Amino acid sequence: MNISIIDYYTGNTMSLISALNILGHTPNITNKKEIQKSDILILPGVGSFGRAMHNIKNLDLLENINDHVKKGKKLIGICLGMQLLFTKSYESEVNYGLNLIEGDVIRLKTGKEKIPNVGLKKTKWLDERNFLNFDNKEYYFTHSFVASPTNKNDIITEFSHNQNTYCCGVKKDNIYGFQFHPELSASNGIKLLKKIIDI
Amino acid sequence: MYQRLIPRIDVKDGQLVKGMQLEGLRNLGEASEFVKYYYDSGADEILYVDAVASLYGRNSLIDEIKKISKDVFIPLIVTGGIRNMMDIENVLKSGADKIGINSAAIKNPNLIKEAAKEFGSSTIVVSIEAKKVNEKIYNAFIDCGRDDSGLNVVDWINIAQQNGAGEILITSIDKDGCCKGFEVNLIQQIEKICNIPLIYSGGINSLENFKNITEFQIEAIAVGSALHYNAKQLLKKNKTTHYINLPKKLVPFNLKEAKKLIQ
Repeated sequence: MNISIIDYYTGNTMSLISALNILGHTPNITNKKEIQKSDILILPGVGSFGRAMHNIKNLDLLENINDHVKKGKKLIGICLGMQLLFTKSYESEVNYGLNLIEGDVIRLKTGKEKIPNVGLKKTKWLDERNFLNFDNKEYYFTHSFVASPTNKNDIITEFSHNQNTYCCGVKKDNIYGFQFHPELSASNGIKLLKKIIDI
Repeated sequence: MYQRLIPRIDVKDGQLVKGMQLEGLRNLGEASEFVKYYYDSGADEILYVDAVASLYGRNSLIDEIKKISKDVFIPLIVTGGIRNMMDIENVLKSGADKIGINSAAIKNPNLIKEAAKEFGSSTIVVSIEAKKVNEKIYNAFIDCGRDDSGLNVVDWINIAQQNGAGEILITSIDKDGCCKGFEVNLIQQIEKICNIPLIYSGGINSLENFKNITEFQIEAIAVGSALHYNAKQLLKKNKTTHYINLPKKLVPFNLKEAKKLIQ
């Protein structure tokens, strides 16, 4: 299977590469045309939404990503990469995203738990059919913003912060997104990554 | 969310070292072996401190991080001697997930802002080495704890937060490696004013002491010697090693036992 991690100059992809290696995959790290040959495209990312979208546009990646999705091939967004899948973000100023899934990216609400939200948290899976054994497992979060899908059917898993429930996993057709980092969530994360790749 | 337990790995030339008050290093063994052991035991993250980089330049650090990040799937915080944007980028590219900046940030707080913008706030940890300068005041020290920056830790935390730091790592130099228990007054001064996640490091000497620190408003606890001397006995290659010259008052404990207390 041909997996590509989109390289758009944001963040560290080493952990993700290592996690895929453990699962027997050798991903390409690329922003070139070879993206088109990929069976699975992974959009990683830390950093700011605005800068990430700026880089994606400057590298002419928009069309490549859209084509990949149109062909029905799998796209996986992680952390900021998940947020980029959405319509727009309110981080610092309004920035428009890939708009592959309808919804906004909003700031976590303040309260006793601090922002950024950092550390392992249990998530609740809504798609029990596919993720029966994944419920109540912990994943590593580090973020201040979350995506809020307009269509609640797109949500596959949720977590809570300051007693508010937020979406932290989406699925729309063959597009998946996770706010937490499977590649930094020890064995739970590796299992999830395997599931998403194999599904 | 429960508190995170983070083994603190002070490294010199790939070896786990343990010093007293950031000086006088003692070699405990291959750093990567300890990291792997802690990962397998359920550590939440790893704090990897390049113990001498500020003073002697870098060398093998990048290769070391590459090696470690290959089979450790928890966040790796790397700190020690990171001077500028280029250093941050190189360390992140080699497999670190977060970087800690200390001296460079004090000399130029704008570096925090720039780094947060480029690499994301949650990637940037401001590392503070706190030392008591009089009865009530703790100042931030720089260059491996040698020089007083003249900045009060409370003021510095506020500046770091305003500049977009994602987390604060505070190390009590007075307690570091001394194994005399954590610095209560320091924690009391900063727990209320710190509105981003706080990682405390320094002095934890027993499971009992660890249990007490969990009562404070800190998000993560970094532990060095108390875990290392336990791990050292359990690591295969060190089977014959016994506790030699164990620091007074140190009662090593197992990471798994400590984790049970915070879950």
